[in-house]
Amino acid sequence: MKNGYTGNNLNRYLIARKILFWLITFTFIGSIPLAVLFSLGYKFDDSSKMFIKTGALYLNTDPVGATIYVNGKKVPATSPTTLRYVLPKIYQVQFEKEGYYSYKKNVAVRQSRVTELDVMLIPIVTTFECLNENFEVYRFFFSKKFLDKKIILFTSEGIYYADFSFASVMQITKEVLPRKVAFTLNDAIEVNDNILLFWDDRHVYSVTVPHDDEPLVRRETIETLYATKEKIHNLYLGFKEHYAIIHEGDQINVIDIHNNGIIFPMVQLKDKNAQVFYDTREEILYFTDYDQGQEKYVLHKKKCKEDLLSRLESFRYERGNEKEIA
Amino acid sequence: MNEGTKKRLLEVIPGLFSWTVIAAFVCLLLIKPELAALILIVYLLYLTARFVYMTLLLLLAHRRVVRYRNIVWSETYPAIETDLTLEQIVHVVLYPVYNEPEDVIERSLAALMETDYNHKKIVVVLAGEEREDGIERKLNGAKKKWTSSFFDILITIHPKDIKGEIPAKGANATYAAKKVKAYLETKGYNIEHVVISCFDSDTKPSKCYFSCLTYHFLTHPRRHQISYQPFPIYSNNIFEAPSFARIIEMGSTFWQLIESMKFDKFITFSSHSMSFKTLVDVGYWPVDMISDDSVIFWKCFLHFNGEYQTYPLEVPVYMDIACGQGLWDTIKIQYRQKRRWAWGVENFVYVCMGFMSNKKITLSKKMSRVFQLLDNHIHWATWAIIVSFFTPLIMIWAQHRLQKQLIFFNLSYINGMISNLLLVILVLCVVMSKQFLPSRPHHVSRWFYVSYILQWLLLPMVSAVLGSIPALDAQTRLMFGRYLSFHRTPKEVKKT
Repeated sequence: MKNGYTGNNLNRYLIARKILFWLITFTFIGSIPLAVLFSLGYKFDDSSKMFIKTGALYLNTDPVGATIYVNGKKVPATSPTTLRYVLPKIYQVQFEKEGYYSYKKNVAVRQSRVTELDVMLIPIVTTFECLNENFEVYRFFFSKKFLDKKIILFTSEGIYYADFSFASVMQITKEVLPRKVAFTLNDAIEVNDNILLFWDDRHVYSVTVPHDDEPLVRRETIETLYATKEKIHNLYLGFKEHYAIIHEGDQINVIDIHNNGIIFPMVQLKDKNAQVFYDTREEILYFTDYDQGQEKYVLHKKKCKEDLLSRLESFRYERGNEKEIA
Repeated sequence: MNEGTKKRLLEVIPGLFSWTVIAAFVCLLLIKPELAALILIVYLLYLTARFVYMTLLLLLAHRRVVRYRNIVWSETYPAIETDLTLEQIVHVVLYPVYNEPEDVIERSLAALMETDYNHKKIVVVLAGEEREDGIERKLNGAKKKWTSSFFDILITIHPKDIKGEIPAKGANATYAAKKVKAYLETKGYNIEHVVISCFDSDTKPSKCYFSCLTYHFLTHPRRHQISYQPFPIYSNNIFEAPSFARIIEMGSTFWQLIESMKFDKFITFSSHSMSFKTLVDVGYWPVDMISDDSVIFWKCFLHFNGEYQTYPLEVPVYMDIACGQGLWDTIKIQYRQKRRWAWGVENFVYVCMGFMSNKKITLSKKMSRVFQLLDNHIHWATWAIIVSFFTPLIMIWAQHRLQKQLIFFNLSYINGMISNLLLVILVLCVVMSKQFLPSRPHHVSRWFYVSYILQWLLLPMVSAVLGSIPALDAQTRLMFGRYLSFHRTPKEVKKT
């Protein structure tokens, strides 16, 4: 600067500022209607030359990264993705991912809404891990215990416990259940004090499970704890796991697990279609039965906790009236 | 309607607007969340436009600063054709002092000595307060040490409890300025040749501050109708201050640079300079207001019937980041400082009252200035609350209650886009702010620069807590007539 006031330098900035201000202001004002239309999902339709309210389609899979086809056309992005400005109608959406079954579904897109399609893909099973042992496995059941989960195996060499990873196998008894019997077993359940109960349609069996530190020196015998002419629908542990509550035919009976032959009739049901459940933890019995007075199936409930063993013999339900009979 | 009633009504307006904006959002969210989302989208777009505009202004301001950074102003004097000579110009540098440590005053005086202007043309005024114990001894100590370096060092002691005054910087500065006038007249100086700079006690002017100021005073065709405002850089203690405080103060620097580009509407802030004659003509700084630094501008504006401006000087002054003893103390001090700055909303009342009685300023100019004041303060009090609280709140609400509505989905989408754009702006700010960092002292680790970059991630939360909330606090107090009292910002020179 040689001469004069530098104030002129501000004029340049003033002009630049005013240009910027009005440019940004008009851009903002002009963008408001576009922003409103965009936010509400409007899209300009070339064919009808009108703004149409659209919706959005959110597509996700587990696992992610699936190729997506909408009405047969491949979508550029993989899952998860959101398709915007989708006209409201029904679309066929297909997910493809290597190693998984293809998933196809029709989805209805609504205007001003986000329609979500979140699916789990099922892997195609091609290889399996085998339990490599010398015996044949006839039946298997999962332990119902919360801790120390294992698989109960009925095999050609006896009864075994296996862990979930197939890493270790422990023999419980060398006594072999005949194959024909093993194939008919419905379930198995462990009792706290190392007894294993298992049953088929007509019999309840038990075997003592040796403690971990006991060598399997003797052949633990499989005992028939209970035999019935009626079909056994289900079996539950109850009364602090001293008893098994058995739903057989149209009866609910209670059998002593530790002493063979001790049986108490608990409930005489009216209908063979009755459903029974015993909550082992809360000691509550639930069952549905047909009530002839009300002419409908009714859900019943009985808390058994306060009914101690000493009262068990005299406990009985009467139809319609829940009262004790001494 | 009497003056008192008018004043009270005006005091309610800014806070009423701000709270209305916030309350409207809350009510809409509860009653019509889709409409709230739509309005929020438009607001976010507006905010984006505003931030883009501000960023472009910041870039312009930054370019201007860089362009004039290396000018040796004193070398331009021979070429100046003006009615005044350099020898006629006297600078008065006024430091209002209250409970300032001696080393802060020492540091400021030492910084004056480092300027490239003839120190014998500078009269330093140390304005103390009677209610501070030992003030005379403190100031006399400084005078004894430095008096030979300047034309003179004047000490004034502002008496306490003067009727009509509040204990604030403006009252002290006015008392001192009156003493300076009497002093100059006894020395035979023409006050039309005097430039007064009112500095905070921690202000260190840049090396060429006075030469630049003198240049503009000599050459501006309306030198008495201009205030001269440097841009503040809060870097005196930047290496010792907590990171959130650094961001806030850097934001203040950016704000001043941005405002300097709107120089036709630029007003004075903190440390600045002006014609001493004008100061006398308008009756000095206000003695009953806290925001004396900005009110003095409005006094001049009204006095000259709208023909008064603030010139953005091309040079900075260096100031302290307000810090306390520890993190929570610093947060408290920062909050109080920002609330005091936001108390500048009292200018709205002053300006409106002034405009009502001034018939010479055009209506368009009045409306433009009133709108500028209101807009700045309402925006300050609300934007960070809306962005940091309402936007996430509405998206969480929508997630749980109305998740399938497209409008909320698009709000989330637009919010994401805007966040990305603001990230770009943030990166620009980080790069630009580096220009204002002083050289790293030896005792400061290189890791400082890592924390300096990462600190900017705190910006959204800091903006709300130490930006909008103090502003809302100030406006609410004004609404209810709970006037703010002056809290001195503590300063200290950290020994290394």
